[in-house]
Amino acid sequence: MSWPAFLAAVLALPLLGAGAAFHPSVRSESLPARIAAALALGVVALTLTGLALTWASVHWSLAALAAPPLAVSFLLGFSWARRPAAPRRAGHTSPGIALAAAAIAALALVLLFWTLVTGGATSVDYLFFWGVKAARFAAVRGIDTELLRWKYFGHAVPDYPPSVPILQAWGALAAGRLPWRFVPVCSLLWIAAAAPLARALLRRRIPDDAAAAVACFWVAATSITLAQSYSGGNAEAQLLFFETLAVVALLVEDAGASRFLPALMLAGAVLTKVEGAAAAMAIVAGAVLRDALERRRRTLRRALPIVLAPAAALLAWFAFQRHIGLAMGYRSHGTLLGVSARFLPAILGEGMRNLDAGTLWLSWAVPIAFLVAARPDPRRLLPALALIAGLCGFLVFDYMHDTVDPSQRIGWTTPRVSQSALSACILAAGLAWFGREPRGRGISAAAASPPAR
Amino acid sequence: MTPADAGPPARSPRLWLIAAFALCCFPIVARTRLPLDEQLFVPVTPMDRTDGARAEQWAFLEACRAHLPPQPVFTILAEDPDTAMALFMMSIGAYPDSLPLPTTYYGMPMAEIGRQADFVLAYRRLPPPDWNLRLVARVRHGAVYARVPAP
Repeated sequence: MSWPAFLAAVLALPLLGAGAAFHPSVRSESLPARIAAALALGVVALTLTGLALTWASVHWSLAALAAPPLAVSFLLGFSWARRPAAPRRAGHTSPGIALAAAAIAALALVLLFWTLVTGGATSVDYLFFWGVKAARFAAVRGIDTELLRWKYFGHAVPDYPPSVPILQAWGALAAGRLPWRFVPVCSLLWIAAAAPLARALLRRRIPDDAAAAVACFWVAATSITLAQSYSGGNAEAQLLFFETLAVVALLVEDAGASRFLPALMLAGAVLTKVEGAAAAMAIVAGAVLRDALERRRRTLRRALPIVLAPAAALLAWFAFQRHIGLAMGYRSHGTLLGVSARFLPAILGEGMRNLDAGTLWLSWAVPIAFLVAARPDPRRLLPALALIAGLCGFLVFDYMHDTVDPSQRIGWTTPRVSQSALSACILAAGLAWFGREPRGRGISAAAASPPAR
Repeated sequence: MTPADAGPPARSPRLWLIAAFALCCFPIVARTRLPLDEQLFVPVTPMDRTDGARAEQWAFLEACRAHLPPQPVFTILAEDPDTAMALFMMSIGAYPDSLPLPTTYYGMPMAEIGRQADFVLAYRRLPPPDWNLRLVARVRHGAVYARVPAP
């Protein structure tokens, strides 16, 4: 029985990044929220360590993979713990709302768990390449560079970022082998981990009851769409974790606040999936545009962390590709401008049909209705709106490269790839509906507190 | 925006909670449509409830495992190129210490490569008679064969 050890290894990931829980921008939050930040740092650090060890021809072991993240995390945490934490806004969630939100979120997670554990939401890509890479990496105790270069491994997209296979291989090393049936169940953990931090971030802008309700709706919508899109065992849940937290961190930030958290999350997204890089670009563009339109101070300088962190993560992967003799970068889907509008009606029609998110479009309709009814200043929501527009535009542009009717491919990909856009839509709607206009730009209590960098 | 101490009157979060509960009703309704014995069925493969064909193919690979030595060099034959490709892709992970050789790759015949394998996993078909193989074991939906060394 290998799944308990695999689960223990996955649950230990926050330990590898525990330092993040002591960052001044996170330290005042609840323990589950801080664990989510630690998980993000642990995953990024483990991924980079996996690359570095293979680069240095050092065989992976649990100790070898864990030691560098633990050391870096300890040093960072020690340094951060000595700095003053951003003050936590005093708040109170009504017991009735808290209980209802917790019960509904738990129900959604139980339903997702039941679906995953009974094999009802396993991604076929998990059997075709995500899990395949993980099993092989664990077997050779490193990134199997020969396999990635092998001409009969092209189907397994060797250029895809390495985080998910490295994480699954980490668990497989602990378990002795990859527990194929159990790994998809762990997709649930990303939703469960993201929710407390998303709620903690939301309550910086909206009342506690509202933050609990929005986070609850987010858990319900994402749990159902993960199951409906067969995202068990692939990279979607992990990507959703990173992109959601990057977006919400940027949406709620005050002028001058630390950008440690969104920078970390964007780096994680880039290391998780190709779409993570496209999403990171859209989110960063939205944040920079928002800052410029709101005439926030030092827009360009403040953009540096959220540009450099994902760029550095991407460069690390590309440099590794080059080092092992792979073509550097990502394979394009046809020539860049080789697009045709021939299938545009089918693309739009099939695209809409596949956005039902397992709830007959209700998951989309509710936040869109709140968004429209709230009539918010769209500038405030640009990090989320840019992700939604960027992702939908990217998908349509990609499908327009197809030379045959892309309806079938849309059915395979849209339910999965659109999940981050749904998540951003929910967060934007929650903030728009419950958020309040500032008394004066940049003079909020949080902004007046010592900046934490 | 400031933390919630200014602006218009507070809006009730109850609508969001009701909507969240409404979302949960969709998978509940879908579940209750299934017979109880099907809901309590413990899956044998990761794909039992998502893709019956892949589930059967995965089960075939699992069944063959017991009849292969450590670090086997094998190829897979199947009734059609798509199935052979799927089995080839899955076998790389199912047997992580092995060397699978394709007999077809994305529909392109690679028989000269597949014939170099020591073992042949034949799924729902017989291997070509001129491949000089001996039967190792029959499994559900197929069989495992070993190459007979040339005299």
